[in-house]
Amino acid sequence: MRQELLDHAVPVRADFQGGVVTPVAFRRHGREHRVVRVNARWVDRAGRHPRFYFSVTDESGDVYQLQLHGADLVWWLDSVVVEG
Amino acid sequence: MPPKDRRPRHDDEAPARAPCADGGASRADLPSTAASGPAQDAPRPSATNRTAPVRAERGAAVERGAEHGAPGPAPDHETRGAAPGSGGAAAAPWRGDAPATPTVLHVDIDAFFAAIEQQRDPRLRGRPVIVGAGVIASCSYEARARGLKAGMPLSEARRLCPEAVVIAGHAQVYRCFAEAIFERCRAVSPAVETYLDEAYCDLTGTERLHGGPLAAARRLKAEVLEATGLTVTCGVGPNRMLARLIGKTAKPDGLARIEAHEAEAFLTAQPVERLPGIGHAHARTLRSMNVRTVGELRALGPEVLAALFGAPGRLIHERAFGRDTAAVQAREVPLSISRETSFHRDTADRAELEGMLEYLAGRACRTARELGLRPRTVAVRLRYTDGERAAQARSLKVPSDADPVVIGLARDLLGRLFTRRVALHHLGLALSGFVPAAAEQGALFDEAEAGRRAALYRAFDGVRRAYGHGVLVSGRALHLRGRLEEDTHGFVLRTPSLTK
Repeated sequence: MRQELLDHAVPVRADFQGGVVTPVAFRRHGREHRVVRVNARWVDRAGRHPRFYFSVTDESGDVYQLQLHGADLVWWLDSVVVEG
Repeated sequence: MPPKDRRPRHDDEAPARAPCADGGASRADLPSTAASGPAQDAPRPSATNRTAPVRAERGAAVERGAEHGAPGPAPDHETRGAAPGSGGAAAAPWRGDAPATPTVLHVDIDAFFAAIEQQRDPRLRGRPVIVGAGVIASCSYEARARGLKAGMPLSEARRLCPEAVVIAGHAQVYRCFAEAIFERCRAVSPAVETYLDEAYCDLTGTERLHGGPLAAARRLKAEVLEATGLTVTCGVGPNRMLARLIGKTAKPDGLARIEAHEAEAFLTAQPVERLPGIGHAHARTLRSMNVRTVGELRALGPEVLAALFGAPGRLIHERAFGRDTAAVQAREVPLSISRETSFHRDTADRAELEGMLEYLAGRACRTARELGLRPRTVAVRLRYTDGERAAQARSLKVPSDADPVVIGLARDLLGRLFTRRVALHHLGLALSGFVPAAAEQGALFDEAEAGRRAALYRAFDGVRRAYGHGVLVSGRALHLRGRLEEDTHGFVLRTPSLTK
């Protein structure tokens, strides 16, 4: 397992239903990655605004960590963990 | 790459705005994950399914109704469960004058750090996973089956289990998961005492609100599983110690209950190390006397134990009989706030040591300020490469949460402690003896100065909350720049107090 820090803002298509947000797809390097599974989600309330974190698996099987800033509703792509 | 929080946000970066249905994402909250399976909370037959009079610790004996401990959603009919006319399932008569039976629920998160890593990355599920740097802080049950355990050096772990996946750890993530679980604990209990991966919930007198303790525990387990995907083991007992010990017999993902009258029999065969207050040193002393079980310990009597271990000896004797009077208390004021770490490479470089100490002190002071506390006592701990340790604490004349005051004393302590020409492996700082910041008597003459200083630190903390702790690095901590990686939360430490 190898983790690469990515750390950049990304466009994300997300589902906001019933007060629950679920990322559906995100765009990286011009390519759309479809989220096939949300593995885990957690919220960090340590700061003034909450940050919502998602561990997701895309169609290629790589695991990405996405972050939604509660303050400005900007999505960030934190990292990817690739096999090997 | 700079930490993301420090980056100015430009419109041309084209960050994605989340689609915002009916009023925006402010309603977004930690959503529930699909439960991966039903909670396996079948209680142990030995500890449940009892109908017996219970010796209430607070005096009066009460009758305990039949405990339907069989798996499934059947409600457990607890004593004094329903008030007249409440229409509840519990048929026990209401006894308004009877004292509530003390009931404590112990909640322990199974293989906490490793379970979270397996949750975050499904490819790790079913594989041995180790979290830690230098030593194992936590490992998955797959790793435990291979003989690995917390505290084992990583080199030995790799030898025993070469295919284990080693992860350095994500302390902030673990805290978020723990807080989500503790929030659910607070929903079933008015007093919850939390630690890193476990909590004690006082369920005394909550039957009319939440049903019996087993029902409350089952519901809690199911909610935690649904919300976080993690399993917890619950122990229910008449006091903290027994709740914790009976829970250990049901790990992982179990639920067990012990009644007060069962305590002596249950404890008799337990190893002495299981009792709170008996660590490695005490256990070694007892083993040298051929005392290995709690039953054998009882025969020593309180005087002998007091002679062996001092004042705590009498407490140990009480505990050997299942008696523990410590109350469950939500700790609004922590006993101490500590920040410590190992070095990536052992060092004797004064600049690096003082830089790290200043950084750790800054982190601890910020936490104290956020809690509205001012510490009186500052302690510094260190460990040399060869394993020798040193620690010293000193008190401030006036409690203070100001970085320079704490750092000044901490540097002085480091100077006294670091006397050998041997590199350090580990350095830590702890603040204790807290007083509420609001309760401190103001200075008579330098009130304006104190006010300016407080405003300055409020501003520092505000900037750090918004942009990350590492955005403001003071004085000697600058020596860490370039030596350590940085992320949103500041410098990436080697072992960032994962178990603290």
